[in-house]
Amino acid sequence: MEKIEIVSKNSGDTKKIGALLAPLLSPGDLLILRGPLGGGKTTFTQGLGEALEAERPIVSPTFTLAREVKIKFRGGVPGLLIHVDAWRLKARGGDIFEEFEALGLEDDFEGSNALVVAEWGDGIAEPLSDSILYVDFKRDLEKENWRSISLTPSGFKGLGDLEKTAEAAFGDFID
Amino acid sequence: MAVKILGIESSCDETAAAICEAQGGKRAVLSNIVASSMDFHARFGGVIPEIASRAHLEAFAPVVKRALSSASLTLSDIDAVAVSAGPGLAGCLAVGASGAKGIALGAKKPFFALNHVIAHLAASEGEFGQIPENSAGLVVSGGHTTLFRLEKFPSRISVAGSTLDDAAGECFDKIGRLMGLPYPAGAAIDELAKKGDPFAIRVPQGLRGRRDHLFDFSFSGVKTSVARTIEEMREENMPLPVEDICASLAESVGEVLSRKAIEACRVFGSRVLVVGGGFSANSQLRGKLKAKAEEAGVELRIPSLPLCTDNGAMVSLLGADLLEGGISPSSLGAPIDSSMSLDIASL
Repeated sequence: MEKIEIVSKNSGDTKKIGALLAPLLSPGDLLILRGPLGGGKTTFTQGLGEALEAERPIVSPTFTLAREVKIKFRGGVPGLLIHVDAWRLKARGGDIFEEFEALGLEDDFEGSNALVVAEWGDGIAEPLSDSILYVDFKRDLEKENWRSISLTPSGFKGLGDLEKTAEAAFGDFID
Repeated sequence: MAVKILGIESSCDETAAAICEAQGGKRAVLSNIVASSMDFHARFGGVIPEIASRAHLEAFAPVVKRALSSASLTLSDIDAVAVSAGPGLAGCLAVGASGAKGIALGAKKPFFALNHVIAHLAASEGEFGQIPENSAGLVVSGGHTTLFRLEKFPSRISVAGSTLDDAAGECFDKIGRLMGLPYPAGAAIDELAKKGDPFAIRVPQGLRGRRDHLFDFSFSGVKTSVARTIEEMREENMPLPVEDICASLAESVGEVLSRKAIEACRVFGSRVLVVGGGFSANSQLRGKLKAKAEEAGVELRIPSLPLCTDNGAMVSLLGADLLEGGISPSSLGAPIDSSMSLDIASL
């Protein structure tokens, strides 16, 4: 088993799935969210943020590229959620690597108990961490509100044994 | 006595400086210079990473000098220096704020670190004069969609509602890109929408009629719904009715924004609605606001396009309000705040 595949039947489910992942995350983790417009990336992050007791509501960071919000990891450990959205970099063209670097996330990331969630970050954000979890969102052409969400770890240990975690944490959302 | 304020703006893509003159409630914009990154791409013959703030750094001194010279003034004629200190991109804000502090320190002038979003409301004062007490305000742009109650501008203001997810302009940009339009897509969608049928495609109006989110907005569902329509059409190899999609999108977004803004006026008992931000350049939104404001007996104060998009005049106008209102200047040690709260006008 290389990934956990989950089905969300509406945006409420997508939020819950984000919340269920929250206790499995640690400082230094990087979540890279992939999927089309309206796939549920921001909705998922909102659920994650709520479960991590984010001090401010999570909204789209597209315009400012990155938003930092104070959170609490499991056990109440204070930390920072750095919510990045590289869509604007990709839409605008130019040297996206140089522009991404210029955001200075590396410094923010290393200097604090931070978790980075990068929307549209695939192929750009990877150098930030060795503990990466890819979260892929697919829309369903038949069923308007359904999304398939898959979790693929790359050096990310938080999911432990995938089969066990799939059943234990996400059992309600697995076919 | 008339006072002159230098306003500096660098929170996102534009480097801008302007000077306004204020006397009592009267306001006059003496100069308003904007260097957009577009000019710089052309001038330097290549793409400059704006988020690396280099473009702002290059533009800062020439833009400030031109704002002074085109008003036939020197720094000694200025009474205060104001700058957007947030919200915005940290690296970009830092350039404008550091430059403005340097000027204020060197020329020994009071310094005001201002809220960029609140300055968008002050922009209207350049054409309509000071914002009266108990007005309502709407700021719509690529990064913000917020309704304000303006009990006494700018010292007593509060957020009545905001977008829960995407900003209105962001929703246009993202759908525009899906249809292959240039980024940012606002102007192109506006033009195409004029030729389309606004009721050709069903587009939801997020949070319309929701009592629990009376003044909040949501454009994420709008984005998803239109993206889905486009995908389905592509799947079936149908030609994309771009004009109809643009018109239907503009209809939905314009309707919910204008409806909630006028509802805010009704609830607050406001006679004046002030509108600002880059998205308020959108002609469908302007048309709807004008019609609904007339019907409701509300005076609509929506400035001409150069004062809607990011500019220095709005910063100098807000600076004038603070100076005339006797509000204490900011410390030169005031930091930039990339996620500044929208309930305060200055630091």
